[in-house]
Amino acid sequence: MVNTDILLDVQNLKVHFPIEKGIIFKRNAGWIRAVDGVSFSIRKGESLGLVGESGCGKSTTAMTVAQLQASTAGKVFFEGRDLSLITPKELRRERMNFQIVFQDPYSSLNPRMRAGDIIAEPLRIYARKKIISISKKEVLEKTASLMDRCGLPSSSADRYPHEFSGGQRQRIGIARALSLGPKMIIADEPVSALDVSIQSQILNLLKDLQQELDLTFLFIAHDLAVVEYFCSRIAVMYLGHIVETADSKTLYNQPIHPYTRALFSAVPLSDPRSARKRKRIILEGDVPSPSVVRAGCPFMDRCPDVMERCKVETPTLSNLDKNHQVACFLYDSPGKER
Amino acid sequence: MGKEIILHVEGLRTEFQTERGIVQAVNNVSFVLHRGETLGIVGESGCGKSVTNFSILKLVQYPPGRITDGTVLYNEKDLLQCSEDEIRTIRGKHIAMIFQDPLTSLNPVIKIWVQIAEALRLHQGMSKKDAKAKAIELLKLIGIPDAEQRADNYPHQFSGGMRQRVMIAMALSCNPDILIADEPTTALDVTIQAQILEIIKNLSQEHKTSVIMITHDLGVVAEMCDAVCVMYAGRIVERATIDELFYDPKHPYTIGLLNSIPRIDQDSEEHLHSILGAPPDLIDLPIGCPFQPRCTHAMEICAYKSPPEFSMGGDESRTVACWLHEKEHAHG
Repeated sequence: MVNTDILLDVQNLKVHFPIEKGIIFKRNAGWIRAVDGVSFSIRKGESLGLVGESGCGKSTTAMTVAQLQASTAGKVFFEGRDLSLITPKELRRERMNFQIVFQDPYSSLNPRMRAGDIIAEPLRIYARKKIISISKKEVLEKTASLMDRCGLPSSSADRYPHEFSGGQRQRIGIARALSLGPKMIIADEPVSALDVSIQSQILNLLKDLQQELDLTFLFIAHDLAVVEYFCSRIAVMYLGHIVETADSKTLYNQPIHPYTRALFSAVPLSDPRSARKRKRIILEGDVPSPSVVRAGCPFMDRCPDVMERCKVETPTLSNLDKNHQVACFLYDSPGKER
Repeated sequence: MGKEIILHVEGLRTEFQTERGIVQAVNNVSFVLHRGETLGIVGESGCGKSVTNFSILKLVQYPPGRITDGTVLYNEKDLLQCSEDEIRTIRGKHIAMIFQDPLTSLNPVIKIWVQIAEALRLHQGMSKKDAKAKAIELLKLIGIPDAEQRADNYPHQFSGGMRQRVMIAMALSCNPDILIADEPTTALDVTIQAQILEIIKNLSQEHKTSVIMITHDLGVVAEMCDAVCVMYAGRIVERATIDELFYDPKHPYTIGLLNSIPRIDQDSEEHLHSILGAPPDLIDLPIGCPFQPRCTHAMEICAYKSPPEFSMGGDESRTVACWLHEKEHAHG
C-alpha cells in the first residue's frame, strides 16, 4: 500500500521566536527555541504522528511545514520542491496539495459564514485567482458531495457554525480541508477538543477518507493512544527535538529512548488489571524552558539514565534499524542492547 | 458491607435557570462513599458530574443554579440543610476540593505559602509562624524542590504541574475525610499527570482519605478508583466496582464508551466503535431513557419510560439504569 515516494521531507528545521524586552525601544532579550533542528520525511499514503507534551514544538513544526509560520533555518520539501524558495503565487498553487485541519472547531470557523460557504470558500478563492476553473454550479455540487462524505446532512448547508455540535463543526473543518483535493492533510490535534464518543466518530471518518482518497497525514496529537491508533509511524518530540521515531507498533512494544519509555508508561491504561500490574516510570520535575541555551541532551535533567556525556554533547538521531531511529547516547554504539 | 459509609448522597437534583428554560443538570443522583475508598464519577462534558460535586459542598451559585431536592449525609448531618456558616466549617476542613484549572483557582497576588496557610489558620487556629512551617512541610511532601524559597513565590512562578500540587497541598492541609478531585489532571501533560495521580494515591492511602475522582478519562479511572459511577445526561446510568465496569459493563452507553477509546495496549487495525449522534440537550430531554436516541438496543419501552436503576443480584452497589437488565434484577 505504501510506496517509497517521499511526499514531504523536512530537513533540520529550526523555528526560534524572539523574546522582546522594553516597552518603546524593543530589544531582543533572547530566543525561544521552539523547534530546534527537526528532520523527518513522510512517504505517500503514510500517516506520521508527531507526539509530545505541551510546548515541545509539535504544533509549531506543523504550522511551519504548512508555511503558516516562517522558519529560522532548515528546509521543507514538498514533492521535491523547496517551499521556502518559491514565490507566494507558486506557494498558493502548491497549497492546494496540503491542507490543514485545526484543533479548535469553535475558533477555526468563521461564525458569520454558513457551513456551505465555509466549505466552498477555498474553491471560490482558487476559482477567482484562476488557479482552478470551476463553475458556480459545480461548486455547489462539490460542496454537497463533500458534506455528504463527511457525514453532514445536506440540509445543514445554510446553517451557521454555532448551530452545530463540536463534532459536526470538526466535520465542517475536515470537509473544507478536502475541498481542493489535497494530497496531504496536516491535522493539528483534530480530536483533542472532543468528547470520547465523538472523538471515535471523527477518527473513523479520517481513517476512511485516508483510504478512499489515498491521503497522506501529518497528525499532531498529545494523546498517545489516538496517535498509536491512527498513525503508521510516530515521531516523539521533546523540547524542540525529535528524540525517537519508529513505526507505531515498534514504538509501543519497544520504546528505546528514556523519554519515550516514561511517556508510554505514564499513559493511563483503560484496563485495571494491567494497570495494577505494570511498573510506571514517574519522571521527576518539569520540561525545562526552551529559552535557555544549554549544551547537552534536551532530556538530561529528567533522564533516569543520564551519563556525563549527555551533559556536554547533544545526541543526534541515529539508526537502530531501518525503521527505528533514536537520539540517545545509550544506544550510540550499534548492536548494544538493553 | 462492613465498610464505614462516610458520605451518603440521596436523590440529589440540581437545576439551572437559563434563558431557554430549565436545565436539569443533576437528576436524582444517589451514591455512597466509604471510608478510604476512591470513587470515580465518569461521563462526557455536560453530563452533570461536576455539578453533582459542587452541590455536595453547596458551591452551586444561586441564581442561576438551585439544588431542588435531595440529601447529602455526612456524619449524620445533612449538608444541604446547613447554614452558610456551618458549611464553611466543613469545606476545606472535612471535605476538601481540588479544581480542574490550578491557575484560576489560586489567587495570583498572594504568596503560595499564605494560600496554603489560610486553611490551617482558619480551621486549626495555628499561629502565622506555625502555619508557615506546616505549609513548607506540605510543599516538601508534595515534592516541590527548594520548598523554603519557593514558598515565597507567587502562583505565576510555578508551572502547571506545580500549581496543581499546591492545590493538593492546600486540600490536604487539614487532613480532610473526603477529597473531591474535579478533573485534577485534565489540563496537564501525561508525565505530569502521572506524578499528580501518584501523589493523590499515596496521600489518600496514608491518611485513609476517601476520594471522589471526577473525570472523563476512563484510563484515569482504571488507574485510580475502587468503584465507579457512570453519568449520562444528569443521571447515574451504571455503578460498579472497577473490575465489573471494565470487564463486565452492562449499560449500552458504558459499553459504547469503553469500545470507543483507542487502546494503546491492543492492536486495533479496524474501526473504532463509535456511539452515534451526540449527547442530548438537557433542556428538552427525551421523555424516556435519555440514551434511547443513540442506543442500538432501544426497545419500545425506552421511548416513553425512563428506566429506574436496577440492582444486579440484589447488590445495591451494582446497578444499571437500563430496561435490558430488568430481568436480571427480578431474578436477583
